[in-house]
Order: sequence, then structure tokens, then C-alpha cells
Amino acid sequence: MKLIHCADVHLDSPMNSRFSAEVAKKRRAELLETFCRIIEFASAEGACAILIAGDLFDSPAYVRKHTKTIVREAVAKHPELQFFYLAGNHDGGTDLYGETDPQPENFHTFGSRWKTYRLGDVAVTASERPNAETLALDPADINIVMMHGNAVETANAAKKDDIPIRAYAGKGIDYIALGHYHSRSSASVDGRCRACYCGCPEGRGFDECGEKGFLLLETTPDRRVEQRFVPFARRTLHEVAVDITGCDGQEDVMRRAKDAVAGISGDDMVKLTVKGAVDPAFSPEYDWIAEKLNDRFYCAELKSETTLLIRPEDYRNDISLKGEFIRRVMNAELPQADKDRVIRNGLRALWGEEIDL
Amino acid sequence: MKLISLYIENFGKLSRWSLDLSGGLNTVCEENGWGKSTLAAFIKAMFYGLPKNAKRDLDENERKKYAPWQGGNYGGYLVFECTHGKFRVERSFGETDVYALTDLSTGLPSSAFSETLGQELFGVDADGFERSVYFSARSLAPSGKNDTVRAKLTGVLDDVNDMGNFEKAYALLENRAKDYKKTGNRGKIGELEAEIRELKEQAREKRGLFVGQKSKEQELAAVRSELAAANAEAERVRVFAERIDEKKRREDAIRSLEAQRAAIGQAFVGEIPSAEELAQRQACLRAIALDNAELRRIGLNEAEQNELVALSAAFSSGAPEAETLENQHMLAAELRAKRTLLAESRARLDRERQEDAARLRELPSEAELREARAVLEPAAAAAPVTARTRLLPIAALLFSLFGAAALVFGVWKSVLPLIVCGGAGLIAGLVCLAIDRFAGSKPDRNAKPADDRPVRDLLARCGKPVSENADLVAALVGLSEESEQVRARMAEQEKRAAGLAAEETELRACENDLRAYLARYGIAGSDPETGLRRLSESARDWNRLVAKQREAARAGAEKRAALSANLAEIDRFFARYPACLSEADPERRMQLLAGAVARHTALKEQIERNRAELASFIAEKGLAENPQTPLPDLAVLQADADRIKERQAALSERETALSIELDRATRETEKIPELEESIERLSDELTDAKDRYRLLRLTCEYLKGAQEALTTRYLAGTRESFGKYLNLLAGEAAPQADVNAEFGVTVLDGGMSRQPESYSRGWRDILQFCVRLSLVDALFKDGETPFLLLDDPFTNLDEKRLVSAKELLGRLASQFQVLYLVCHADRT
Repeated sequence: MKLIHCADVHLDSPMNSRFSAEVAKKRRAELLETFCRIIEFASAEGACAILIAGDLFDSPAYVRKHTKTIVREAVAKHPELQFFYLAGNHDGGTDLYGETDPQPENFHTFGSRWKTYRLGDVAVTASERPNAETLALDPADINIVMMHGNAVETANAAKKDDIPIRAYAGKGIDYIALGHYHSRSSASVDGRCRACYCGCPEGRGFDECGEKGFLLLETTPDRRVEQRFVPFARRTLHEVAVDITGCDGQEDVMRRAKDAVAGISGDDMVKLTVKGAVDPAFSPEYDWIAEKLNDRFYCAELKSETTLLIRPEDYRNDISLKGEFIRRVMNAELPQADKDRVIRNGLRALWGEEIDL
Repeated sequence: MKLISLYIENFGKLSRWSLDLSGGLNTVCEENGWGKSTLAAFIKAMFYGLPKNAKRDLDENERKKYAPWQGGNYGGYLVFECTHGKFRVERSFGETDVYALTDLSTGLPSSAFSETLGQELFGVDADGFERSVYFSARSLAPSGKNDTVRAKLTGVLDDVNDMGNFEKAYALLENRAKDYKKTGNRGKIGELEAEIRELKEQAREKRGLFVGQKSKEQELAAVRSELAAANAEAERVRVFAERIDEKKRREDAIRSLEAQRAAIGQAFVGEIPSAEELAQRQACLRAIALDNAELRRIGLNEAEQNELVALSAAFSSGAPEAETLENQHMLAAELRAKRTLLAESRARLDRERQEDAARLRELPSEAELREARAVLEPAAAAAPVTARTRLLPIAALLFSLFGAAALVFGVWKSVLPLIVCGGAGLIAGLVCLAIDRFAGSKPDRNAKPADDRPVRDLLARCGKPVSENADLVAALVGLSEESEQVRARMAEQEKRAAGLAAEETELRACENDLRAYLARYGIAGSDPETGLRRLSESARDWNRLVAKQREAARAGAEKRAALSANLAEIDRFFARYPACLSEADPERRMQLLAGAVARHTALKEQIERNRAELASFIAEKGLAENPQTPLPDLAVLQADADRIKERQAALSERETALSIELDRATRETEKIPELEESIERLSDELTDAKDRYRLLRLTCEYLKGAQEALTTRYLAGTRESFGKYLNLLAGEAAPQADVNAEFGVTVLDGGMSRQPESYSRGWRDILQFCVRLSLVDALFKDGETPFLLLDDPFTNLDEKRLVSAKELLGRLASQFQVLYLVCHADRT
């Protein structure tokens, strides 16, 4: 039997990075599209269920009617699939089905107490407020437990959202489908059980870089649950650093930037962090580079973390205003990044050049 | 350095004026208006040039101010000596300024200094020069707002642009910082903050809408539930009312049917004919109709009657007998045959007459024949010719033709006289032929004339050409006989013409008789045979119509008798049902009656059926009335329905309002992600802007700090010089004064700091003079020693201070070359 474990779709979510309004809107549409594609994938793969381990929506305050309609239609289109939807901390109060749209038979939800649905010899159990002490399962079943929260390697919860996975050891669980963290990870609970975060299916900002998708679960004849990660994101977000130390011209910087992002698909989204030490007399045109990257990728962002290539001894005996200025700034109690920017722009001002601030 | 000499070609009011200078003190004492300030300006112009500008104020436009009064070449030259050597600088000012520097040691043009000679020599610009080595009573205050002076003071001679650009750099940074923050919370930071506040407020409002959305959704659910109940109640009332209404309608329908049936019953006066009786009467009516149709059919129709009337007018005394008409037809045919024969005979006679007349004109006359015979006398005497024998074949032919025609026509028409005439004609023809065969004789053709040419010509003209050996006499005889025969035929033709005229007369009389016969029956104009055919047809029609009329009269009498009997029977029947007497036509009466009977019967069945259906309807819908639970009145139900309708309307209105509010709220809350993103983006921008502003302020701060640090380097020396010069000028009376980095003077008097403006003009000049001297010390302590250009700076000093000033002047002259311009000898 095959099942899909996904979570943290965050439909209709605001984007975390400084995307343009247009890109943010498209990404929201892509989130929804990806969730629908997961359902189509499950159907095509012959899976019998989709486990949604929380945070299908980002907030009940602004989930769109259109989004709900699309999700309802996708569910209704696949009566052969069972949907197990555990509400996460972001979902609270989101009514996917209401008075006019009764919940279909293949869509299952959970409350604050443990509730179990059976799929042949697989039992899917979940609770919005999981409590290991009250969980009682038949060890003869293939037990899959869904939870949403912050899994901790302890036996006790320190915070409200903590899930002390050690407390679930020896409960006869075969697989714990977790949601809440947007990067995938897994941990062994006991000899029988693994707890897995599947991560989010699409990155919403450059804090969610890397491959995204879901876990495809399959029960084996010896009653184990095997899991396989399926990369499924419409676009991957990349954060790439490039060192431009020693660059003496714009083309040189651009060349290094291109080298750094080589091999990344044009459909992806890239954040390029420029690092290294730059001569004060050279000011790379980062806006121009960002523009070129935006032509190359679906969306690109550039951040400069360069430092100025200044040797204090060069200015020790310089009695010019420039020397005095640099000495004073270098001796000031400021973060190095501030010092660099103050010196760069002070010098630009003295040279009558445009201020880069 | 040292000024050696100068020559002014034209500069202001000075023209072609020269001056040689020595080291130390050089005094030029001239009265006011001589041009001392012009001389000072000339010296400055030789070092710095006269920049062009468009200012109108002469104090701000030296080029214009010192334009030669008298015209001529604007400029001059100046000879000076410095560490680099001895040079002559020449300048003239015009459309194109001319600058030339000559190294006097070689006499060649020098490139030791460029046009910015003054700046290169003294390390300060023209303004700095004026504010340092140029001492004027008009403005002794040195003012520190000169970058080149600062640069000079700070010893940054090699990088004068660096220090010199401080003010621009600082302004650039300040302006950039103002882009972020201006007074009144303006600038990008203020704008971003305002925008974020606005967006946050919108987001807060929209989140508030979401909170209210929940309660509204609950209210909407309650309203919809209530509305559903009201709709169900309304439907129940509507259905019940409809059923009661239906029951009433059905009862009314039954009552209506009963009323109709009763009305029909009244029309029959209690007796309703049975179906058999109606069938009998309908058969009777059909018989009447048939009799009537038969009566109409057996009589003459209108056309026939009209025809009979018309024919009766023609046959008032009866129609002609058929036999008579047959005879008349035969007569007419005979007349037509006669007329045909007559016409043929006449035509044939005319043709013969024409042919014979023509032949006669061709044939020679008697005289011509005599002449011809005379030519042929011998021959003519021997060969008489009998022309008479030539007539017999013609007569035989004519008789034969006539006899054959008469015989054929007589046989065809069975007319005996014609047959006899025909036979006689044929016999006569045969007799003439026999006579011609056996009684004729041949002329002698052997006679030959001596000159027969005229005869031959005559014969040729008459169409009888002959051969050389022909018998000319016989030919003439032939012509003669032919001429006689033609004449004889013509006579006979005259006789035949007379006979034909008589036949014509007789024929016309017969035809007139026939026409007169036809005219008696009103037929005229046409030929007799056509008239007779018309007469025969009319007579046949008249006879047929008369016979038909007689037959119709007989049959009509029989039919009318039967019809009268049936009509009497049917009238008796209808008399029993006065309701049907409104119709005059028996058929219509019968239809009315039959319809009424059928309707009466149908109504009875319909009433029975409706009653059964009503009973079933009442049972099925539970509408049976009983005293305990009487059925409600429709008006009451209507009132209930109205009340429910009002409730429905109110609930619908509320539902619509809530739906609209919820839709609006949903649309608004759906914008929250975009708002959050915008807030996030703007917050990032704000943080960035604040950071940039902070860094700009830091940059300004550190740049200014650097500039001030450099400036204060010279301050200690300046203060020392200032104290020294003040002591020399004022001695013990000198106030406790100090100079700051901006060359400002502060006087400590009575325990308080005072500005020089608090003192007299004389003291102020002393203080500023000392500041200027200390500034010169600071500026030129290294490198080239400048000259001092003093433009009557002691005009405001009292005598005691003037003495001190003169002493100081002497001291200065030992250190600097001094050009002292003064207007009063007392101050020399």
C-alpha cells in the first residue's frame, strides 16, 4: 500500500523574502498548483491515501475562497484517494468544508483527541493535541501516527508545541508523519518506528532553500513502512555565495557571479551573496548584476557582504583629509561592515562621486 | 618671494603707469581716488587673472569693475622673484585672455607656472589670497570659510583637492541624508514609516474583519436555517391553500355542470328525445334533403332555362321538322356543288377566252394571208385546206368531260337527270371523235413558191417556222384554218358565257330562298350551309329542353308529394321542443337538438366522474370536513402566507446583507498576504533606509571630525602669533583675546566672552589685523614667503595705536616685502 506524507503547504501564504508583488502572487498560485499536482501524482502512483501533517493553509484569516474551492474540487475529483488532514498551528479555524459544502467521505479530519481511521491493515491515527500517554494502538496493525509540532529528542514536552518523540517509543508505531519544520529530517523512535518531517513542498523564501517535496510511504510484506523522498517543487530556491576579492572591474565580478550560479535551472530562484574584500576605489554595480541575474532566473536577489580592502598602515602617516578620515573610522568602535560602508561613501563623497547609500 | 616691478597698460583708471619695488617696505601714498585699491587689484589679477562672470554688481565682478576707463589694452605685467627664479608675468583681458610667463634669466617663455600662477605660488586661491596677504581696511576679517586656506593651513598642499572638497563632500552626504530624513518627518524614512503605518492599519482592519467574519458566518447560518424553516412553512401553507382551492374549484365545477344540465333539461320541457327517436328523425331529415336534392336535380338548371327561353323566342311556332331540315341541307349542298362547278367553268372559259384572244392577235389578218397567198399563188391554188376538221377533237373532248362529270355527280347525289345528261355527253364525245378520225383530208405539201421569204417571215412571226423544203401553202392554210378555229371558239365561248350567267342567276335565287328560310328562325348573315347547321343544333336543343321540362314537371310532382309528408312529420317533431325553434333550418334544428341531448348526457357522465374524483381528492389530501376540525378559510391561509412571506423577505434581506458583508470581508481578508508582504518589504526598506541614514550621519560625523582634527593642527601656532601681534599693537592695554579654528576672535572681558563687534572700530581693526598676521604666519611658515599688500588698514586707529602700528609695520618689513598703500602722510 502506498501513501503520501506531505505537510506545511501553507496555501495563500505571504512570501518570506522580498519578492516583487508579482512574483509573490505567482508563487502563491504555484503553491496551490503543487498541492494539486501531489494529488494527481498520488492517483497516478496508485497510492491510497494522502497524509497532510498540518499547515495546509497559512492562516484562516486570509485563505481565499478560490483556494478552498480548488482544494475541494481536487479532493472530489479523486474519490479513490483518502485524505487525512491534521490541522496544524497555522490551520486553526480554517473551515475547508462548511454548511454548503459538506465534507466528502474520502476526507478525514482529527480533533483534540486521538482518532484512528483504518485502511486495510494500516491504521492512521492523529490528534491535534497529541499526548503519548493517552495513545493506545493495536501493535498488530501497521500504525501510522500523524502529529504537528516541534519534535524534541526527549520524553517530556517543555513547550506547548513540543513533541517528545521518546515518549512514543514502544507504542507499536511504525511511522510518525510529522509536520511543522519546513526542512525534511528524520529520527529513529524505537526499533520499529521512524519519525519523519517531510518538509514543505515549495520554498516560500530564501530561508527555505534546497530540494522540496514529500515522502512516499510504502508498506512492505513484512509490515514495515518504507519512505522515499520525492522532489516535487515547481522551483528550487538557491542561496549562493561568490567571493569577488581581487576583482578589479564590473565584468570580472559578473563573470564570477555567472560562474557561481552556473548549473542552476533558469526556472529556479537564486539569492547571490557577494563576499570578499574590495578596493575602496572600486564600487561594483550590484543593481546591474542583479538585473542580469533576474534575466537569467525566474527570480534573483543579490546581497553584498563585501568588505573594504584597507590596510591601516597605508594611512598611518597620511596627513590628508582622506587619511585622517580613514584613520578615525578604522579606530572607531563600529562593526566592520559599517566601517566599510562609511569609508567607501566618505571617499566617494570626497571624490565627488555618487553616494552608494 | 619679492615683487620687483609692475607696469599697468590699462586697468581701471590707471593707464600706462609703472612702479618699481624694493625689498621691505614700499609705500605708495596717494590721495583718495587715486587708484590704490585698483593697484592692489591689478597685483592680484597678475597672479590670479580676472575670471569672467555675468554678475552686474561691480563689487562681485572685478573684470567689469576694472575695465579700462580710457579703453585700450586691458592688462599689464609684473616682475617678481621667487625660489624658482625671476619671472615676468603678462596678462591682458579681452575676448580671449592672454597669459605669458617669461623666465627673465633666459628671456624665454617659462612653463614653471601655469595660468593658476597665484595658487601655485602661494598655495591658496584668489579668495584665499585676498583673505590672507591682502590687508584692506574694508575687510580685515580673514574668515575661515575658504577651503584652500584650510588646506594651506593644514599643510595638505599636495592634496589640496582633498581638503578643498570637504565642503562639497559634506554637502553631498548631507543632501543624501536629507533624502532619507528631513525636518517635519519628511524624507524616505518618514514616507516609509507612514506607508507601513497605513498598511498595518489596513491589515489590522482586515484581521478585524476576519474576527467579525466568524460571528457573521454563524449568524448567516442561523438566518439560513430560519429561512429554510420559513420556506418550508410557506410551502406547507401554499400547498394546503392550493388543495383547499382545488377542492373548491372542483365543487364549483360540479355545480356549474349541474346548472348547465338543468338548463338543458328545462329547454326540453321535461321530455328528452331518445336516441332512437332522434335517429328516426335524422333519417327523415336526410330523406327530405335527398328529395330536395332530387327536385333540384330533375328540373332545368338556370342555364338550361335561359337557353329554353332564348330558343322559344326563335321557335315561337315550333321547331322545323327534321326531314325538312335534311332536305334543306341537301339543297344547300347541291347549290354549293353547282356554285363550284360554275366557278370552275367560268374560270376555264375566261382562260380559254384569254388564250384565244392572244392567239388571234398573233395570227395574220385576212389581208396578210391574201398577200402571202399571192406570193404562193400556184401552190395555194392546188392545196385547199379544210380547217373545219380541226374542231371535231375539241368537241369530242368537251363532251366527254361534261358527260363524265355529270355522271359522277349524279351517281354521288342519286340525281337521275344528271346521270342521263352525263351519259349523253359521253356518247356525243365518242361520235365527234369518230367523225374526226374518218372524215378529215390532208393538204398537198409538195407546192413550192418562187420567193417565199415574206411567207416564211409571216409563219415565223406566227410561231410556225418552217424548213426550207416545207410546204408553205399548207402552212398558210394551217394559219388560215387556225384563225377560223380561234374565231369559232371565241363565238362558242360567248355562248357558254351566257349560259353560265343564266346558271348563276338561278343559283343565286335558290340561295336566297334558303336564306329567307333561315331568317324565319332568326339566322342571318352566314352562308346557308352554316346557317342550316346552326338551325339544326338549335332545333335539337329546343326539343331536348322541352322534353326535359316536361319530364321534370312529372317527376317533381311525385317528389313534392313525398317531401310534403316528411316535412309535416318533422315539423310535428320539432314542435315538441320549442328551444330548437330558434333555428329556421330543420337541419340546424336537428343539430341543436342532437347537440343538446348529447351535451345533457355528457354532462351527466361528467358530473358523476367529477364527483368521484372529488371524493378521491378529499380522501387523498385529507380535506374531509367534520365539525371538530373544520377546514380553514382561504383568507386565513392567505393571511398566514402573507405573514410568512414578510418573514421570508426580512430573512432573505438579512441573508443577502450578510452574504455581501462576508463576501466583502473575504475579499478584504484575502488581501492580507499581499499586505503582509508589502509591510515586510517596506519594513525591510525602512530598516535599510534607517541603516543608510545612520551610516550617512556617521560618514558626515567622521568626515567632519577628520576635517576639524586637521584644522586644529595650526590653531596653537595661530594663537601664539595672534598674542604676539596683539601685544605689539596694544601693549598692556591689549584685551584678553583668543582666536579659534575658524579665525573668529573672542574677547574675555569682565569674566564674559564677547564678540569683536562689541568693541570700537579701531579695536576691531586691531584684533582682525592681528588675526590676519597670525594667519599669514600660519599659512606661510614653510615655503615661499609672500609679500604683504596693505591697503590703508590703519584708518580707524587712534594716534597711540597708529604709532604702534607703524612700529609693527617696520618689523613686518624686515620679514616680508610690504607694499603699503596709504592716502594720508600721517599714516606713513
